[in-house]
Amino acid sequence: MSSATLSAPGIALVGCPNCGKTALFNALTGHHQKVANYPGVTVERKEGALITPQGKTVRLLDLPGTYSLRGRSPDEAVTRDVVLGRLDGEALPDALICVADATNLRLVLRLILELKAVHRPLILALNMIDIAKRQGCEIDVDRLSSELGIPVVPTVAVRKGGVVSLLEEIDRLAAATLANAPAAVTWREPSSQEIRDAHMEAERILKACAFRPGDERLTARLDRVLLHPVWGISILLAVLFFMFQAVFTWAAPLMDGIKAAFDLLGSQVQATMPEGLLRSLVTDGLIAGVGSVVVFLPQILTLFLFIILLEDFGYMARAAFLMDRLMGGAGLHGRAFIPLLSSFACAIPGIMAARVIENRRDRLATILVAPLMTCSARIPVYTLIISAFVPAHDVAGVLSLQGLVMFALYATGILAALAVAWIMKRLVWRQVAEPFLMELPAYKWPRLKNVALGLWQRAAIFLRRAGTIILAIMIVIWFLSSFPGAPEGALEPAINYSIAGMIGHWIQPVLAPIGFNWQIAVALIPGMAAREVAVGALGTVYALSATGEEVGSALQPILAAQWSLPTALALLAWYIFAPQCASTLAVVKRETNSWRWPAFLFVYMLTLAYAAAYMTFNLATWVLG
Amino acid sequence: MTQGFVALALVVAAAGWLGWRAIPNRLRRKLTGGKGGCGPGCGCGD
Repeated sequence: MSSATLSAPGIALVGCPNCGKTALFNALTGHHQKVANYPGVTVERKEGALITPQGKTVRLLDLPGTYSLRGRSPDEAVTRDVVLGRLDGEALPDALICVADATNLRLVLRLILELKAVHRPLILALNMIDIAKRQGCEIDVDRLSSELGIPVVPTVAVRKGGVVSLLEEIDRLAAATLANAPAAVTWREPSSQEIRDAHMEAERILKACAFRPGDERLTARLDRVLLHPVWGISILLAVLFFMFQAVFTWAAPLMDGIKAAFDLLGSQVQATMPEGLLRSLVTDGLIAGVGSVVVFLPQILTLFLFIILLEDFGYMARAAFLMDRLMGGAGLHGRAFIPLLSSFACAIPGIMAARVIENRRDRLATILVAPLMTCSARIPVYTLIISAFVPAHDVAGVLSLQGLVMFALYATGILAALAVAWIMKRLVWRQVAEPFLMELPAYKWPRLKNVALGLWQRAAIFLRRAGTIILAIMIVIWFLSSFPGAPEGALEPAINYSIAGMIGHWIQPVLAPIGFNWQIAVALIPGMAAREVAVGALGTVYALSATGEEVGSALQPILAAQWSLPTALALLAWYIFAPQCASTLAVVKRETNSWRWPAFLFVYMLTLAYAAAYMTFNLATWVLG
Repeated sequence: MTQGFVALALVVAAAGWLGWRAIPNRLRRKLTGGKGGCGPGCGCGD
């Protein structure tokens, strides 16, 4: 860049993420760009040069997207520091261009009001104006300009629409105010009341200048019910409740079909292969082990069908809004909802999604409670035990008792996560919760293609795991459960004399106070790799423990016959809390850059799991006599 | 006898593969020159 350009006035582009800011930057600067990183952070810095119609050279800086100058993430902090002239090595911009997504004006109005308070020359580029018009949204540009007290230029950055008008506005700004812009700015972080006031002002301006299309009116009408403090929460609970009922009732016929197919395969192999080690490996290890996990695919897909439909419909963001009061009460940041919601699928993406939370302690609290949310790997364990021990009765004629128990397990996981967060944030770190602003999308009918794709991806992930890691672990468990064989004249099943049997018997005394037998002890070890492996391991262990006529029969009746109800309930309580996922611990280590936090996570969850299982087992034993 | 050998080969292959997956990602990437994954139990689809 030439020395003339370096001494030219500087204008910074500011705007919310995905408002077309970079497209406008490209339209204004063309190929005259220089890309680097801001010092000390991995945030991209893009600077370019443009020439106005009057021949003035202007430096243009494309700042990272932000919703506010309060700057929570590293990107947002860079934008705030540049706008305020606080970033070392970066000159205070002579003027600002705020880029707004015209289809979502409400979101950017608060940012514009914050930028106005900085008292720098400011232009509003009303981008994506073509899409807004297509959606039926009419914006009175002159009125908006007079309400805000700044020039407003409609643009369509991707087609360079409005770029000339914007350049002319820059010329007018340069002639009028640029040279006289103050050399420094003053700004302080707004209080919660000031944020609320700004929100009210933004709503007022929006009502005065923008006509809402029909779907937004529908959205507002639906939101009046779905976000109502009483009706909204009641509907959310009803939706979740219906979801867990459906997991049990809708999936049952498909599960029966898969089970029958694996049973048929097992008996075919049994009938066609000569007796030997390989036949035992295939029937007792692979078919019994992998089959007992794959059978839960319909339940997992039913659960995700609901999650995807609700997400596409736009309801998940409303659920986040409704949960914010509850989460804030527990000391969790509002942004923690998305990581915690992701953790219902798997704690790993949930923990990684916690990166959106800037405050270290808020992020740590979210990471440490994310594994308490019921991930999909727990579903096979829960459904196996519930199917074996909870009768398939209806409650009040319409509700399935099994669905109710499943709902209670999910609710316990959520409440435990909130309680742990509250203890950490309020009692240990003594931190006050921060205000939370989020965008609520308009309601949309879910697209069949999206739903089908989402379900296909879930099924593929589950089956890939069943066909790789679970399969491999089942082979190793079969080996450990089969060797060494029973001595001559042994009366008990051969597995009792095997390596797995020895390990199980060795660990069992530690687990006896919580009612676990040695077979559960054997299943818990490979369950460290992935929770659902425990179900497969139980399938293999009990298949190898069984005598002739029991082989090939389903795991549920075997467990129902061999475990007591207190043992089953204790195992459910154990699985709500147990840190049985090596990958989760590895990701916590990576995200916190320390072994201290995964170690803490492991110890606190194991302590909770043991205590919960101990209390459940003893209470159930006492109650049941 | 043949069944025993095949079963043993499968056990060795499964144990070897699990052992390989248990190696930390960074080290595994170094050993393979860039390839790696999340490891056993990960549900992220990586």
